[in-house]
Amino acid sequence: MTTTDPVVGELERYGALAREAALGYLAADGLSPYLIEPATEYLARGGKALRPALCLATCEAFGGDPARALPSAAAIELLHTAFLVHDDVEDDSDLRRGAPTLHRRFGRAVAMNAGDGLAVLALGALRDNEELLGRRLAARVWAEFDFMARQTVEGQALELGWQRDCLTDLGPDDYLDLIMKKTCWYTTLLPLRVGVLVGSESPPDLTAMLRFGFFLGAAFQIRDDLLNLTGAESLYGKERLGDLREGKRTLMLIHLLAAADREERRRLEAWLALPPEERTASVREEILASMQEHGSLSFADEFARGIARSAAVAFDEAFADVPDSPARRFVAGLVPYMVDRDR
Amino acid sequence: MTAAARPSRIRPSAADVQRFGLLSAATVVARYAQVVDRAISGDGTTWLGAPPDGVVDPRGLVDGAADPQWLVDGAARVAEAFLRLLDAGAALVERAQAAAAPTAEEVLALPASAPGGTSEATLWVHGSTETAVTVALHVTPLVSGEGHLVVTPAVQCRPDRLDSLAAGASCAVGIHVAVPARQPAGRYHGLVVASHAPEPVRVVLEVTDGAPS
Repeated sequence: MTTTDPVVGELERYGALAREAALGYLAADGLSPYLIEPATEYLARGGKALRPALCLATCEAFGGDPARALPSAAAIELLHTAFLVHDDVEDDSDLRRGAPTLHRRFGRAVAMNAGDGLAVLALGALRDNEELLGRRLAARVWAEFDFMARQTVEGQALELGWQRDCLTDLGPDDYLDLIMKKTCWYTTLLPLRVGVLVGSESPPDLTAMLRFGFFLGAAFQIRDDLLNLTGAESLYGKERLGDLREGKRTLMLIHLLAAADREERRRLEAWLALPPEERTASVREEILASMQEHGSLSFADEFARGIARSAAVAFDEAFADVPDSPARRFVAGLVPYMVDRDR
Repeated sequence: MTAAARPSRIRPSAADVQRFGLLSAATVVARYAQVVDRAISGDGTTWLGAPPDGVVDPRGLVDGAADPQWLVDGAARVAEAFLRLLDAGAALVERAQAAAAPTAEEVLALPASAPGGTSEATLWVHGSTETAVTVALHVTPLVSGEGHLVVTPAVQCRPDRLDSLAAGASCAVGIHVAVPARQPAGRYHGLVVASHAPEPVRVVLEVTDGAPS
């Protein structure tokens, strides 16, 4: 991916800053190794750190010192890791970032508590904003986190509820609503909005940022869903076809349900009503073959490309008054990186 | 646009799917833009999506736009129409109505207009079913490459329903756009979908800079 190489370098630099700050919060309070060991192990695996990097770079692009956004960036990374730990338990996943999930390695109870601990430490990180940013701005940043967290847990609840109730009468708009809540708020919208708030100490055009953030986050999530079906497990770091095992209502599955004939749809619905452990590998491969036959993968790919192309334009709108800088170029470069990635 | 049956499965073009993706995403953004800052700053209503029954959202959209509930309904209608189109072949085969239909992509180009102006073009609906049918027409919001929207009532089909379109008959339908005064310039795309028609018609409108002539 030659075109995105400079982005990767900057991503690593911003990510290292945020991860170091996050690990600092874990180490600071002399907490028990029973908590620190599992929590640190997950953080240190070194994910992409897209979210805190987006926050730090946006702050810098809008004229702020990224150090002032560091507690917020650390809180984003801590919360993200907490969500992943719990998400893996909920989905009973085997792999995360190329290694066994925390509950596979330490057991369910330890993993759940480590997730709780990471979320609580994120709250502590946000307390540092009071001294750094002043009470008023710190309160606004807190409100952004509060709103994001509500959206995220509601989105996750929606997804689990759809699976539990075997919902199949869904359209692309339902899916977009779901990922707006479940993914986009904490992946792109919060990092961007907090970056703008801290960087400029005012809310410039947060609606333009809403458009850019959602387009970027939606394209990212659809790509992530596609990688779960078609990506190499060694690169992607998660269980291949895991979303099919869990019965996740992805755009591809929604398309397949609409495109299948009556008999095929009936079989799909019966399969989705099974408990996840009964959705065997051979059935999952069969569903994937049906998706390929009906064009569900190419549909989702083009659907995401339409959104991603507009994300590039929405970036120009959201960053219209921001002078050229390496930080601005980094955020612009994230659009193709997040959409064309293979991991 | 031909109100006819076609037995083969319809595969929309990549460009149409991309437009559909953008349209759907822009609709979600428009809905959230109404409430998110108030919800976060805590000085207003905190619901997202549709207001409770009987509650009217006092906050308008940009001029010429409709209430947020319309956007919710509109997105659902568009998604439903699109998914129905994807499976149109199977549904139509079931009805055993095999008739030829044009495969060339249809595009209705509306005359360019500046913000504050109007633009209108005529679409012909042909009744090629074996019996008379009632045809309901719906035009989606128009969306630009930047994600800006023009929504109803600024975009309308006139009329939006053809009662008892006889076999072999044709009827003109106007696609009318009142471009809002502060609409950003750009190339806007939308779809006209009709019951009994296997394919949507693309609508394109160029919104120019400056005052209407």
